[in-house]
Amino acid sequence: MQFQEFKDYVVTAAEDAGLTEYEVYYKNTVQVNVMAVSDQNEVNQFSSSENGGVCFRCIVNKTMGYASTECFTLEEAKKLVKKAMENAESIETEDEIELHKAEEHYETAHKKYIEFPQSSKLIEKTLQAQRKALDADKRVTGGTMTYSAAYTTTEAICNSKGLDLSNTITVSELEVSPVIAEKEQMYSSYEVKISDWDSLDAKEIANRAVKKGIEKIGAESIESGTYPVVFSADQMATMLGTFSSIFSAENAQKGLSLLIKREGEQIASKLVTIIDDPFYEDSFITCSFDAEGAATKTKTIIEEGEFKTLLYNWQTAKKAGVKTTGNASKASYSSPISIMPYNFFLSAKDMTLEELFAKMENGVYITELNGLHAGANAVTGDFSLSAEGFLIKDKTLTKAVKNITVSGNFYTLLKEIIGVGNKIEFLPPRGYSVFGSPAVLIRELAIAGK
Amino acid sequence: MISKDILQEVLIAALSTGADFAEIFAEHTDEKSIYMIDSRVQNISDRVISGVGIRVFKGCRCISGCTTDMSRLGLLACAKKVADTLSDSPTISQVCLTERIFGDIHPIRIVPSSCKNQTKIDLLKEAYFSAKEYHERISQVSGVFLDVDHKILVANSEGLFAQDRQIRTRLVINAVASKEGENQTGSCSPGRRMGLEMFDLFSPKEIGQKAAKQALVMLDADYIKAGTMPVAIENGFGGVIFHEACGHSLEATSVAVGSSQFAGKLGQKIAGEKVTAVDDGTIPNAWGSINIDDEGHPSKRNVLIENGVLKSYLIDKLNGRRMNMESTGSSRRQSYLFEPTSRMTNTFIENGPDKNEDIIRSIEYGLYAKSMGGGSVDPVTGSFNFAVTEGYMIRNGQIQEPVRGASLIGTGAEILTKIDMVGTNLERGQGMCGSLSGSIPTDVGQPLIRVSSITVGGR
Repeated sequence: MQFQEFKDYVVTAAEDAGLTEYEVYYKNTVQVNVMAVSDQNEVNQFSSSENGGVCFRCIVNKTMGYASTECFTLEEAKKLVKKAMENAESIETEDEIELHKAEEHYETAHKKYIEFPQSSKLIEKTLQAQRKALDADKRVTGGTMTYSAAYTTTEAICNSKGLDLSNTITVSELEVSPVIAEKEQMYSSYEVKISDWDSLDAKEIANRAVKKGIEKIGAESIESGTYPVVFSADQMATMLGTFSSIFSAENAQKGLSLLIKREGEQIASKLVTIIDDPFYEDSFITCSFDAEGAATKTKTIIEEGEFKTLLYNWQTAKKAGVKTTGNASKASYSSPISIMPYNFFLSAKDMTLEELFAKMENGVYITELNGLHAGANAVTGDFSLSAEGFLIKDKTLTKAVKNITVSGNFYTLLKEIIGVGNKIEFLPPRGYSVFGSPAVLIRELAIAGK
Repeated sequence: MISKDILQEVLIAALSTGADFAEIFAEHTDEKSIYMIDSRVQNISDRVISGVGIRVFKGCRCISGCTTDMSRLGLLACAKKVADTLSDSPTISQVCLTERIFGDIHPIRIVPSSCKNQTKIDLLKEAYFSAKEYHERISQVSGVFLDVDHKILVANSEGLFAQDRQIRTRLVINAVASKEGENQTGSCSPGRRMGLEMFDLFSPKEIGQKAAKQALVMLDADYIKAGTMPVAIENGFGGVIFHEACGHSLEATSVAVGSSQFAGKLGQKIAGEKVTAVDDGTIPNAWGSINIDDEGHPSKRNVLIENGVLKSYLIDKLNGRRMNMESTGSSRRQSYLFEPTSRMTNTFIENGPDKNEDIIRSIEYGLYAKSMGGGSVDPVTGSFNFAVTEGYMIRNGQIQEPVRGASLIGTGAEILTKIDMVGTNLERGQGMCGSLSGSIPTDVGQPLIRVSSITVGGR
């Protein structure tokens, strides 16, 4: 059974149950993954999948109940409605809940048209990248892996107030993870690129991945102490992604972020401007409506260090007496409504990486951070993370560094940014969120090593 | 879930282009979560996960597909798609399924799906408010009651046909303590392969108090000074050190392609001789236990390291082919959407010869890591990291003031040899382990251990 047919069953079941306020939310992903390990001539793993689910929510006596399913049958449609109604009964929140009509105007999301690549093309380029990686240097070993994926996600929302919206995004990515061996030591690295499949350059990605791995050879720990630090663009983007939840109005209202009622305050260095843009031109993720059907818009979160706004959905905006920023989001089709950004980035300034090193003079250039899910706490802002990178001595990149941790607090870090690079890099999307940043220079951070 | 006749027909279709092995994994999972914050029940949701994953092997190649359409035609279409991708040579095969029943060693007394929401809400609230009311500085608490009823079916072209029903219950409390514009967090989140009888083992009140207490202790703590020092790691979730530093590198996923630091080291001494480590999916009602793995093999107790010597890897069928070794009943997947691979179940260091008080007394200056957060590892280099959520300094053999912001890093091969004291209070803690085949429930565990020297990140 397809979604449209199932939706009709659900709507009938809802009407039969006497419901007047309800919503059907649908998400479907068609995905192909290809993996090549060691062998250069055939792919080791190939998988294609299609999966989708429906989330039904309804208002019963001013509270909202949720239920979701992947099982599209008539019987399941009735169960879905019944479970959601039962769940609504036990909700205790006093927040005012409503479903919304379509807005009068939605900005047109520019669409980078991406064709879903044929499987044969995916396989061909994956093998090509794997071969290029293995050939790039004789120290590259068989443990090297190339992974590619293409997926199309369709999202649709319709409700009892006549809202009926849908959006589709297509993304493809190629990732090369070389394993390099020298003198019984192994080194790993990776390079991942998101684009339309035809413009992904297998050779370039493979070479960059191998280069990153080779540069790590001979890496050592350094003395513990405080150092000025430059985060590479992708690692600063990772930090921004990890701590982006501090900008959620939901977290702020619940005391899980320290940014409640701080609008207008200088919370970051003057060099810091952070923007959330659902229509960012070079992004593959664009969307004109959010998970509640509200129109999305571009907004400045921090402008030259001054905190401008939190990210809101309808409910948190109502509580704060402001308009929603259109950031309602669902982590998966079955998740309750929460808040997430779209293309969320630190704006670029004018310094090249070399100029950042020159300003730092002596310090550490961090190019890899690990264990962010455990070592970073968005509620406190504290982080203590395993890191790798390079030692900068007299303004120049010298030896590779590993087995260190870099520690600090994200709220403090925002104030300690004293240099911002000129080139933004974006990470692969996480749902509808894409995080980006240029490289940044931090006045000082604690590093644990020897 | 699906009749034997249809399974056989679908397996034959999957084999039709020359595969030498085909497998169907079907699941129907009911999940319920109840979420509390701001002292109120904010959300309750039910979720049904239902679908089928089909895999075929040709030598060491694997092709797979999945679908939510569990009708005969839906399954045949999925099998055909997988077969067409392989398109080796047309083959006509016979498949004769023989059902096996391995028995359930995880009795469930109170099946959660048969209980009313209110019963679960009452348990959740008891834990929630014991955290909230623990101290005036507890500014926020969130709590989740989770229960999962995961029914699986596995059938393959070798005739295997087995089913399992995995019921799990978990209660999670996160507490935030605040003072002077600063937050600290604490949490407690026990889980079992059990129904609501789990709360005979854990009182909800103690779960809440434990979370609140941790947040409060950390609120008064100073940042630890970074450096290299001996560390005593407490039992329970402290076992995450073995899970990250060693367990992942023993999974065939990285051993089979030779990228693991422990590849080719069977029979060699890789750890301190007091270290015996086990992965055991057969512990009755444990969080990470399974009757059968997701390839239909019965779960086993696998001794990984015995007195410091590497004894076994964790092997799934596909990687077993690559390694020319038998499966260890360790193949797991989050759901039908993921391809299964070798994973851990309940993994722990066994009790050792040292008295716990001797371990603390032996440390002149170091860290006592009472409670650990999660971590991660790069299986290639063995570089791991994990967070200490509740730590105290040790001076002259005495546990002293609490410290915050500590993380531990190192490489697995190195740290294993530095475990030089192993205590006697083995306990396990629950986690969700994320890797190639998704997020799965696993136990980690150990008694109190001493690592003679490790890099501690801090300020």
